[in-house]
Amino acid sequence: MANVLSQKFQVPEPSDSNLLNVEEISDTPLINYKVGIDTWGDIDTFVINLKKFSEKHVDTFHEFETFVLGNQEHELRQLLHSMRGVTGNLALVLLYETLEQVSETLKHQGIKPLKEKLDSVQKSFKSTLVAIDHLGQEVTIRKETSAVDLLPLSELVDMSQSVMMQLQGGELDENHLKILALQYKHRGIPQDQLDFLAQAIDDFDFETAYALLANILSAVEEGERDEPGQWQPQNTSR
Amino acid sequence: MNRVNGNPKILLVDDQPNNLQVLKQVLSDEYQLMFATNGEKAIKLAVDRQPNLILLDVMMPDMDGFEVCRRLKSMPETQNIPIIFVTAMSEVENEFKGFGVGAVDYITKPISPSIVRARVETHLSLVRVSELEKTQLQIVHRLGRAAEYKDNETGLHVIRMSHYSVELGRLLGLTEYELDLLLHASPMHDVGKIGVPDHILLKPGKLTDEEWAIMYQHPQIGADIIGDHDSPLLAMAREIALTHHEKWDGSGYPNQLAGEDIPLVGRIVAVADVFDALTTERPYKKAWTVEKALDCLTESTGSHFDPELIPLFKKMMPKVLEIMNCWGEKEEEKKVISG
Repeated sequence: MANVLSQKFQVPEPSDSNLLNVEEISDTPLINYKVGIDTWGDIDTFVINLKKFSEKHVDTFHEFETFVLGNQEHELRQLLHSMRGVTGNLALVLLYETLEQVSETLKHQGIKPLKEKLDSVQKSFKSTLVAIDHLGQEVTIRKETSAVDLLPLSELVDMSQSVMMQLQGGELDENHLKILALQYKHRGIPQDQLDFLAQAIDDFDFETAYALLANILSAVEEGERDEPGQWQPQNTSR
Repeated sequence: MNRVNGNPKILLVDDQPNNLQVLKQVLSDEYQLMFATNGEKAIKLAVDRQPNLILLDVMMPDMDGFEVCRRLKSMPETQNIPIIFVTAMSEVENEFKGFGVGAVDYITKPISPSIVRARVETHLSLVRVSELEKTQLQIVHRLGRAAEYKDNETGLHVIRMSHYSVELGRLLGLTEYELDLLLHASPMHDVGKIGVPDHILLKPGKLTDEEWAIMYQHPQIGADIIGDHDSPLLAMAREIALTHHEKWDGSGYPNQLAGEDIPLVGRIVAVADVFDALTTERPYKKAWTVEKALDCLTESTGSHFDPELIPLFKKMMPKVLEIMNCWGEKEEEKKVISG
């Protein structure tokens, strides 16, 4: 499965492919595209978030199974609460309904009867993830193709500090973060560090994102000190 | 309303990034968003950033949404921020619990974008109305003080007389809403003095007939300044400005109204205004003692003042002294009153 998270901040590569058109897809018993697109505003965003879900919840069924078999009711409630919200928002119809039924059973009959439902829950998880994976084979995430003009270091520092301040205040400026990621990449920051940053942003973990940005920024400034002039403004497309 | 870049600020709180993501998707075009993944961060952001509205998940590890809401409502700096709960739980008892801790609304997951937008907009408009009301009150208070600055250096007269009026109104059985209006409307009673020349208003000693003729115009000038409005507050302010110099026996001004033809709020403010004028120093006289002022009010019962009001005013004397003590003109005056 393609790493959708890292694609968020990936360096642009020329590509003619786009995401699916709304007309190309139809609702299934597993995913209600109409509702999903309505909720997420457009198909691109919806599919990206489906992919994130698929990546994040590969092992969630095992977590569920562990809680059921271990009679960990409190943990199970928390998990069901989270999963119902997430699957509902993503219009993952089958999985959402399965988890609703599980929640009802837990509420009225306790945890024991859930052991008999493990198979059906596993099937729901599996078929949902497969459906999202199948979708992944059909689509390619749209990538920016514009050339990157490197910003002067002082501007890059200002922009970084401004974004960091926003993160401290709980705000997220994705446009500037994307610009920064491209700038950092072209100044030699490894992709794995940018992926960590993307992951922190995706998780709304702004403290980690702030710390990562601070590290990246000091690495960029250090690089400029060690090899002054190397990162003078230039157009990489030339 | 707190705005940066022209958009109201909304704080979104949920331990699940996916839920924050979907709310971001739904709301980011219209609002400036802030995000928190736990209760502790949410409280810090609410205090530091003062959002206009908070969308809060209920079931979160460590500190649940109810507790976050309870804490926010207990702090003066955050207690007025409306909170909407957004949660996967849809049981009625949780809704009750949510409203019990101070939430204004409840949205269940999976969310519907149109419902979220509509609820958010509704609650933000309520915030705007409340802020408009606050602004209106500020302007009203400033207007009242503007008149006081013209003939009284401190502007404390309007504060004292408005509180006397409220206490008297309370004894007369006015509702809390009416008392609230009276508190804010009565300071404008003398706004018409803005139209009276200083050499008359500030003249030490008695006024001539010609000067009185000008002075008699100030209730009408005040009513004209306030104008005719649908707003209950301004309507009451106009009524008070126009009638607080009318007398029970019909010998007052500007319209020589008598008895119950004088609106109750005008009669109440007449007592409060005269009592405060008597007990404070003016350009033409020294401050009277409370006893002497009360004697004067008693003597004028049935002629100047509504006979029902003076006994009630005397009855509330401990409250009056408290107000005088709190809003006295001078430190010495406070000591005399409290001593």
